[in-house]
Amino acid sequence: MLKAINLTKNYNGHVALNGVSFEVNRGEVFCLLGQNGAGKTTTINIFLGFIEASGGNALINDVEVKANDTETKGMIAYIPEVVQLYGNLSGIENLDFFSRLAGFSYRQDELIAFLSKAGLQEEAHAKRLSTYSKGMRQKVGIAIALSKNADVIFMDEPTSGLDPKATAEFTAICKQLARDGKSIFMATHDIFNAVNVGTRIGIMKSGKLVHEMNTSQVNANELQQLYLETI
Amino acid sequence: MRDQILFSKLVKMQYWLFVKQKTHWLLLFVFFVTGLYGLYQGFAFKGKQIATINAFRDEKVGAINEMVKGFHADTTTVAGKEAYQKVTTLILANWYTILPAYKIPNTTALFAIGQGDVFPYYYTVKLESFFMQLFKQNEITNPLRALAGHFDVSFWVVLLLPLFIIVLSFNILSSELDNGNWRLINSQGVSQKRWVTSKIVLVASVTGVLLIVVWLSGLVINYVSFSQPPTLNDFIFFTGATIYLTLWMSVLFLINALSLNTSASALYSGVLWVLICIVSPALTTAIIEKTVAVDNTVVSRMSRRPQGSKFEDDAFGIKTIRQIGVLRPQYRHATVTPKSKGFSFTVYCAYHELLDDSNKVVVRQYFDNIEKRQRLTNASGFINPAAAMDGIFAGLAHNDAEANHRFIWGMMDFHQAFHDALFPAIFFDRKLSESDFKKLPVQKQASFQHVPVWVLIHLMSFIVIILLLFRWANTKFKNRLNV
Repeated sequence: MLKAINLTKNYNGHVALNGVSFEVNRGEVFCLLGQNGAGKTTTINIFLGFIEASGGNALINDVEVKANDTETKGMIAYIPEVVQLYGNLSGIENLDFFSRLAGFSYRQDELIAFLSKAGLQEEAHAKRLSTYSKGMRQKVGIAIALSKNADVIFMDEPTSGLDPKATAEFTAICKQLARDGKSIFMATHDIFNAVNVGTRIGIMKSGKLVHEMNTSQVNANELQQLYLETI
Repeated sequence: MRDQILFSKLVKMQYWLFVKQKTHWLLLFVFFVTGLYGLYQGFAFKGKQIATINAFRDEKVGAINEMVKGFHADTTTVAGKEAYQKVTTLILANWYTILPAYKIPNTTALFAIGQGDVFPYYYTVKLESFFMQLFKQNEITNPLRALAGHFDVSFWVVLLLPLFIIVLSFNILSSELDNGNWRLINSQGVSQKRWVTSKIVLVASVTGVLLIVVWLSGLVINYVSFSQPPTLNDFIFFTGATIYLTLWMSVLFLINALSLNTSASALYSGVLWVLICIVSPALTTAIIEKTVAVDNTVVSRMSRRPQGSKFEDDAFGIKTIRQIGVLRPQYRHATVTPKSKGFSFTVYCAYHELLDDSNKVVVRQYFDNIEKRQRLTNASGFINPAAAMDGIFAGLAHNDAEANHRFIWGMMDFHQAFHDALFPAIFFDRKLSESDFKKLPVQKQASFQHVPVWVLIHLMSFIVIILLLFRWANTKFKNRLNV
């Protein structure tokens, strides 16, 4: 579903990605760990078509991703680190707006169902987003991703700033999405959550994917040790 | 997987997002009210001009009609004798005979006052020097300046609507980039260019609706209040306003293509507004004033009334009347002599006729220079679009120097026709008769409704600028990444 083949990216002589290859299949949650500047977001940016790779290939459902091209946009959903959205609109209005941007037109009950599936309590649906907590905004972001019915979901530091309860709720939703057959690619600093939610884990350093493993092979403490040794 | 959202749907969604913001409604209200206020200013100005013209014309024509009755007055009574003398005695008749000349504001004058407040729109035609009277009425000392500065619809379009457009679209993209929404929007399959274009189209539509409502209101006011149906000038005014606002749209489109954050967009937009609407008109005016000198004191010096008892001097009088015989052959054999009762008055009239003739070239030069300034300003669209468009609007309203000078030359012909009616009695030493009064001219209203060709040429130049700006912005969007 998601394939990186020898991806490289150079910025004015600086190597941001250096021959990165991996594959994320249907139902898998791939968690990419690494320090700031290791190349996690650059990898996501290439798959989202925000930037162009200097070399290699990024494939979604065997279709090559090209910068500024909308062909693969319909196959992916994206949950950014900070889900800002529009503060003057309610949760359901935001969901309606963003799902329409993607070309969908849902009925009110369908929109409510997406928000509920994302874990947003019903009484918050009609409230303005400016009154939401970060976790609640994150849930609207998930609902937007769900409404797109995409095969692949990219998440950039999704649990950053969430309280433990919200993180746990988020983890549960991710697992459910994976069970529904989605491929999830998550860039994160959260080692414990990566072990908890991920099916596979990669560790990046200076643009290279230096470790890749199944979560069944490692526990949180071992992963932390490996991570610290790697960076 | 779904297809990319249709552009029309994207514009509709931008509209939905737009109306959800209360501040947008406030902005719309404020700018709509200012537009209506501009219309009111034009209405009040035009209404006052028309009311003044009507009252002035009725008063002067009525006074002459009343005076002419004196020919049939019963001269055996004191009042009848007075009435008869009033109409037959040259000096008294000169005093009381004032012909009305006026320039009725055209339909587009409702939208653009232009230089209408400093040029004459009505004029009292008397036997004395035309230029002297013009100068006495303070109508001749008006070197043209760029941007007239009335709060009319033209001002609203040229200076205020660009602000409305800027406020709504200076940060279409940068706001989304700054608040972090852009990556999510783009991941939904919307490119930067489509996002910006859809919002620009929305802002253009909203601005267009404001313009249409104000313009249509103007057409209705013209029809109801002044019995003036819409004219081609009105439609070209609307077209010009649309082109000018599209120019601003292209500027904002480019700013969105160039800038990466809200503060940079705000800076670019603000600086551009100040440059286009304030600095450029001021600088251009200063340069044009330096380049094309206009010395109004020349006219004022030559238009002064001669001092002392010159007209009582027989030698001066004979010489002056001989001179008028050269200028106007029909008076070469004038029979008036120093022994005639009205000799000094005849000399006075001849002197004024000569004065006008000798001033004509200087005044023509003076007017030509003012018109040259106007033409230069109107043609400066590439560097000075605000003042150029203001000039174009004033041109369509015939409230610019060119149209007003045309009115003045027309009045001069009228003034000459007035002379032709009364001068035979004056120069051939006879009393005024009723048939002399029947020869008094009636002012022919010059057409102030045609569309000047230069207006169309300048509007075309605006279209060229717009195309260049959109092309530049397109190139920028092509080379720009979506992050």
